[in-house]
Amino acid sequence: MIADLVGSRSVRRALGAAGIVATLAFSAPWLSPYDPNEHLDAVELRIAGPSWHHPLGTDLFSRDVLSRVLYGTRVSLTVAALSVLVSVTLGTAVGMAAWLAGGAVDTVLMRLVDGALAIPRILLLLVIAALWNHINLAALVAILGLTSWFGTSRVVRAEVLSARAREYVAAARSLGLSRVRIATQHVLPNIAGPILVAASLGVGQIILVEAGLSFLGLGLAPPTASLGAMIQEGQSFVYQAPWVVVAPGVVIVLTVLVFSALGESLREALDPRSGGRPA
Amino acid sequence: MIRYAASRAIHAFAVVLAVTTLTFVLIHAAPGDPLTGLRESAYASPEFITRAQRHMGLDRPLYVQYLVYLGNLFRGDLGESFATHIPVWHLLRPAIPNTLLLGAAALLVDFTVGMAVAAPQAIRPGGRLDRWLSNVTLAVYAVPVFWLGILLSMLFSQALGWLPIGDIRDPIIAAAGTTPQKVVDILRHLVLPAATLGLVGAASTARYQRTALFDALRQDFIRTAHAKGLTARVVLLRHALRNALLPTITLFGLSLPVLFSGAVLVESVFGWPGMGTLAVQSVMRRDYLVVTAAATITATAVVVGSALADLLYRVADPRTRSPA
Repeated sequence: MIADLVGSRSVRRALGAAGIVATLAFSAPWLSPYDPNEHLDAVELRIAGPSWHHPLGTDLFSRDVLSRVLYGTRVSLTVAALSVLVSVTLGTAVGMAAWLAGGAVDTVLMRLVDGALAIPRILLLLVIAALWNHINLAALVAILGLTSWFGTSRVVRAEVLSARAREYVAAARSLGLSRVRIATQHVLPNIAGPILVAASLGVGQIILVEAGLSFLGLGLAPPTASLGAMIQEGQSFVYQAPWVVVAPGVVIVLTVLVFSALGESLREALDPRSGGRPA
Repeated sequence: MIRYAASRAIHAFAVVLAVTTLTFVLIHAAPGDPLTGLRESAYASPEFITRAQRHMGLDRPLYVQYLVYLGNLFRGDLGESFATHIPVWHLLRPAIPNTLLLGAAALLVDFTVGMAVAAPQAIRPGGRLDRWLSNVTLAVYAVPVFWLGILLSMLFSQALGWLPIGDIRDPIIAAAGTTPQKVVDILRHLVLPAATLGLVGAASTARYQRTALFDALRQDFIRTAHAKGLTARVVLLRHALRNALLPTITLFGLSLPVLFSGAVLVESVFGWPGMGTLAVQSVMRRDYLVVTAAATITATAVVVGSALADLLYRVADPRTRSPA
C-alpha cells in the first residue's frame, strides 16, 4: 500500500505541498519579522497598508499581519492535526466496537451517531461553547476532536462490514483467532487506506470549522493569533484595510486546499478501480 | 412502501431522541449550571439560591430531570430564557422563517450552479474543461463561507453599491413602503447571503453530480438510446439527467446539516435575523437553553428532511422498491 502511495505522482505532489505549508507554519518563530502580539506603534502604524517593512500591512492594533498570519497558521495546523488524531482514533475505535459488539449495542451506537450527525456541526459546537467558559488549546482540541469522529465511525463500520466477507477474514477465522484479534490485526491494516483519506480530508475540515468558531469569537482567547479571529477583527473596518481580512482568508483557502488535494489523491491512489472515474 | 415509511419514521424518531439525549448529556456534563452566575454574586443569599434551584427543578435526581425535560419538549415547551426571561419559543419563532428563507434560497443557488458546473464536466471527463472546473470546485470547497460573505459584500455592496447588507429589511421601507416594495426589499437583502451560502454548497454539489452524471451516462439504457439514433442532446437531457437527478435527492438530505452550519456563519456576517444569529448572541449571554433549543429544532428539521428525501427516492426510483 505504501508503495502504491509513494508511486503516485499526485500523492507525492500533494505531500510536498502539505510539507511546505507545515514547514512555513512551524517556522513561524524564525520567519516572523515581528512579535505577533506586539503593538508596534499605535499612532503611526495603526492600519498601515502593505509596505516593505510590513509586507501584509498592520492591523487595527498596529500588529504585523504577516507575523500574525504565520503564527495563526501554526495554531490552526496544530489544532487540526491533534483534533484529527483524536477523532480518527475515536471513530475507528467506535466503528470497530460497533461491529465487534454487534446486535443492540451496534444499533444504539449507530443511532446515536446518526443523531450527532444530524446536529449541524457549528450549532453543536455553539452548545458546547455556551457551556464552557474558557477555551484553551487542549480544550479546543478536545471539543473539535470529540465532535468530529461520527463520520469516521460510519466509514470504518462500513469498511469492516465489507471486509468481513473477504477471504483473509475467513482464513483467520478458520485458524481459530479471536474476533478482537482478527479485527485489530487483520482487518484494521486492510482498511487503513480509507481511514487515511478521512484523516487527510478531516484536517482541512477542522481548519475550516476552527476558523468559523474563532470568527464567531468562540475560539482561543485573544490575543492569540487565530486566522478566523483575524477576519472577525478586520470585518468592521474592511473597507479601509482589506488586507487584514484578505490575508488570513487566502491562507485558510490554500491550507485547506492542500489537505483536500492530499485526501483526493490518496483516494485515487488507493482505489485503482476508480481509474478515470471521478471520485 | 407504507412499511418502509413506517420504519423510516421510527428510525427518524429514534434519531431525534438521540439528539435530545445528547444535548441533555452535554448540558449536564459541562461545568457550572444556570445558577453559577448567581452563586458568584454577592447579592444572592444561600436560601435564595436553594429556592431558585427548587424552582428550576435542579434539586431533583438527574433521571427525573431528563424525563421532565423530554416531557416538556414533546409538549413544545422549550423553557424560559435565563437572560431575558422570555419563553425560548417566543425568541425562536420570528427567527425560524428567516432561516428557512435563507436556506431555501441558498439551496436553489446551490443546486442550479452545481448542476450547471457538473453537466459539461461529465460529458467530457478528463478533458481540459473538466479538469479546470474540478480544480475550481476543489478550491471553492476550501473557502471559509464567512470570508466569502465579507468579500462579496465588499464588492457588491461597498464598491458597486448594488445591494444592501445588514438585517433582512430596510427600516424605512418596512415602516412606510407598499407591499411590493417590502417584498423587493427583502429579496434585495436576501441576494448576498443566499449567494454566499449557495456558492460554497455548489462546490460539493458539483463534485457529487459530476460522478452521478458520469455513472448515468455509462449505463446500458444510454447506449440503447444512442443506438436508437437519438441526438446526444436528447440523450443527455431526457435520459441521463433524469437518472442523475436521483442521487440529487439523496444529496439534498446529506447537505442539510452543512447548510444549517453555514447559515449560522452567514447570518452572523450579514446580520441576518435568523436562528444562527440568535444562537450566537445567546452563547455570548450564556443563555444555553436558547442554544440547545435552536440545535434541537435544526437537528429535527435535518432528520425530517433526510427521512423525506429517502421516501422521495423510493417513490422516484422504482428499482429500489423490489429487492434487487
